[in-house]
Amino acid sequence: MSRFNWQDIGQFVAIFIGGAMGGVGRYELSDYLNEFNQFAGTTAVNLIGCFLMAIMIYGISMRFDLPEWLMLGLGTGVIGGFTTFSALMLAFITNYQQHIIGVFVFLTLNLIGGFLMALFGYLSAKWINRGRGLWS
Amino acid sequence: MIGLVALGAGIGSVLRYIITLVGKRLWPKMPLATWLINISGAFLAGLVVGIHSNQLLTVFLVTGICGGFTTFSTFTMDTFILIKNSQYRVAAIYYLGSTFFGIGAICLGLWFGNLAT
Repeated sequence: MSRFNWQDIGQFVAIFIGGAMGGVGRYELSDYLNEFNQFAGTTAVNLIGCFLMAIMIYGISMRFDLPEWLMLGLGTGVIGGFTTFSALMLAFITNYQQHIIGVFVFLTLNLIGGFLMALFGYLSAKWINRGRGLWS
Repeated sequence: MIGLVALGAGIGSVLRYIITLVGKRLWPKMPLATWLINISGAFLAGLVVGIHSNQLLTVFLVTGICGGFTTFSTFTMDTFILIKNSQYRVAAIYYLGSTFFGIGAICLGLWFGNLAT
């Protein structure tokens, strides 16, 4: 990196701490929900995360003048570390033989559900920021 | 256990950020960095599970590092932004392509992992 300064280090620390928090949140929620269904944990973190990421990008970052490190810590760190792509793929493959229909429902629910949650988050953010002239 | 997940997810998130920064410079218009992150993270998760190492190492590497490194929220937002910009074909290729390649990467990882043991 050509220009490395203390501000960059602060951003890395914020992302590290945020990512650790998001990861623990994912682990705890998955641990709890997977007792009911082995796909519930990953589906829940991914759908919640997609909604929160849209709120973060279109709502919070536009409404509040938050410092860069906090935006990165919350968005890239907490929400990015909370959601997971690898666990989704892993659960699909490791359960493929026992639950052939279940894994496709699971994958579709994550892909379409995640997109709809992002849309819902976007519309919610738009509603929160209504009348502020931020929307073209 | 929680400490291992926290450490792994923290490291994974920082690595994801670094690759995203490099990716924005190399491919400013395409979310190729996230694509690369998710595919390589899926491969690594498959590899570790395939090797059948001990439980603590698996929690650290798979739930921690791979879980924190890969991301579903940014992946979905990338697609959302592509659709919002009317790049429907790119969005479809990105969304479905990541999924197909992700499944392929997991299978390849598991296969290599099984070979090694």
